[in-house]
Amino acid sequence: MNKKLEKSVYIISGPVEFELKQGEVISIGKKILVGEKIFVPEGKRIPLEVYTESQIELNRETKVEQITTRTIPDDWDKVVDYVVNNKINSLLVFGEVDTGKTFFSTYLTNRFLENKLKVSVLDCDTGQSDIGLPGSLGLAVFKEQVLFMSDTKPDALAFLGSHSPSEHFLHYASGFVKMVNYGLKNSDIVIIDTPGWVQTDGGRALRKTEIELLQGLGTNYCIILLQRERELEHLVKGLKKSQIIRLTVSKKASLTSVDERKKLREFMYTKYFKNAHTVEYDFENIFTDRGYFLSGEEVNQKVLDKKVLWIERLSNWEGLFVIARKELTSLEIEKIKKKLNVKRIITTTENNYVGMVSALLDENHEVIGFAIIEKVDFDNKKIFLRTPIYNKKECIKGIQFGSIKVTFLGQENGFVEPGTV
Amino acid sequence: MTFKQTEVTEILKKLSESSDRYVFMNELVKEAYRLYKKVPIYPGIVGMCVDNVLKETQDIKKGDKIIVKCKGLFYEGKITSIKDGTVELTDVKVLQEKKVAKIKLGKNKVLKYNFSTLGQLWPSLNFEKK
Repeated sequence: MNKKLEKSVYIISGPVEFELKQGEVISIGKKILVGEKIFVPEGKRIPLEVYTESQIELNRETKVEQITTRTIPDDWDKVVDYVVNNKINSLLVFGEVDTGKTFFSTYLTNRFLENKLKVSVLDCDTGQSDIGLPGSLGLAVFKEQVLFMSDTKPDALAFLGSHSPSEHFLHYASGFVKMVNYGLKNSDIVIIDTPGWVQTDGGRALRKTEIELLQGLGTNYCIILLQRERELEHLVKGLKKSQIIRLTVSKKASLTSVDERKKLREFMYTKYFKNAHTVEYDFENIFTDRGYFLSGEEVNQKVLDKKVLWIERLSNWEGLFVIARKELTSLEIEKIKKKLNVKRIITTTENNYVGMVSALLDENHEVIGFAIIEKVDFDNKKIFLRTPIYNKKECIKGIQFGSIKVTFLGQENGFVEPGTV
Repeated sequence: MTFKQTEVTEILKKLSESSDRYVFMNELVKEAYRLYKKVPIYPGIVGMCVDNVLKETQDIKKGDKIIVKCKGLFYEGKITSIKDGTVELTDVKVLQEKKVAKIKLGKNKVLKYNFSTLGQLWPSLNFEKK
């Protein structure tokens, strides 16, 4: 079905695919070419800025709302000039939840590309990842303009293992440094899209740490405050005026409920794991990271209860790491301590591993993909992983444990307590 | 000033606050731990839940675990029946608050609170003035 668009601004809601038949249309800073087909996914809306009378062909009936003003606030355009003139190489985008940080980052990416700058975007919003899997920090180096970050494949990944940096601050900081470094080496500017946690101890600590890390990396950074009023000012007190750009939130920034966020994450998991196959590794052919399992020396557990599946001796006073079929009682734990002459035991159950989302590492400890742990066979010392990168089995050298569990269909299915695997 | 990097302390704080309001803490502490085990990466949410575990209500039914204060005694137990405004409880604990009490010790077991453990176990960390 054809629709004529006059010189104005429109909002088009997905799911729909449309083709620009004629005219001049720009969306989120990207020039849409005549003949180009654009797919707007369900739950997403994009603005169309029509500069000359245009015509689009829609593959289905959908809401095309004409509005009176641009959805892009005018002050957003000043950022491009400021960054270019001041040779800024990293932009930290701060904003509360639902202030359109990703939309802003997309707009800026397209505008920088238009100015012939090489741009990378680091998506740190692990609860609402667009680049990479939820629970990871993904970085993409852009060669062409885009409308949705989620259409982009990451060039580099770091694993957080959680949807929130809460209780995972160190992994967040290490991943942040790794990804920013990659971006700086491979582009002129890194746009850092941060999570919306900007208040209370955790939010303040994280945002302040990001600033300190950029200082430590020696970047020429600038902080974008996307705020409705003055809710982010506490994060930039004492910084030079030239390092802060205050912008207004787009009036069209839409709210996403907790349930919608969960659905979006599950959509990302399902999409990633839909072509997954099982690969198996002998314990001796794969290293583990961010956990106790396989970090110590195996102890023959056959002397013990049938409930015990695996025991290893950890470093010095750390004692033993014991994996059991079911949770051990305090009496059973005391029995093991006595029998193996140790004062300290960390216990867990085999169920803790099944369904855990993990990162797959190459020989340089770089994240090359993700897997869901399917099974651990302690008798035959094998681990079974479901991953879409099964064809890279030879490159997978390590598995990095996380704190999220999903079903094989990609539905969220609980957590793994940090310090128990 | 430094920032907290964990919200686990919120759980402790809520439990401490609750202990001022309720005399029975056993079930509340256990529920807090159960909740933490369910969502270990969101201790702040656990803290919020802990605050809502015990609520004053008239909406009770068979099987509910309740605390009732009656004639200076606190009862905790599971409801087995409700009839004519009377509840029957099972697995009951009874506690009475008194200003003073005289107890003949005899061979009874005595547990004593030790409020000096930090000074005894880690004297270097004990900054309280002697």
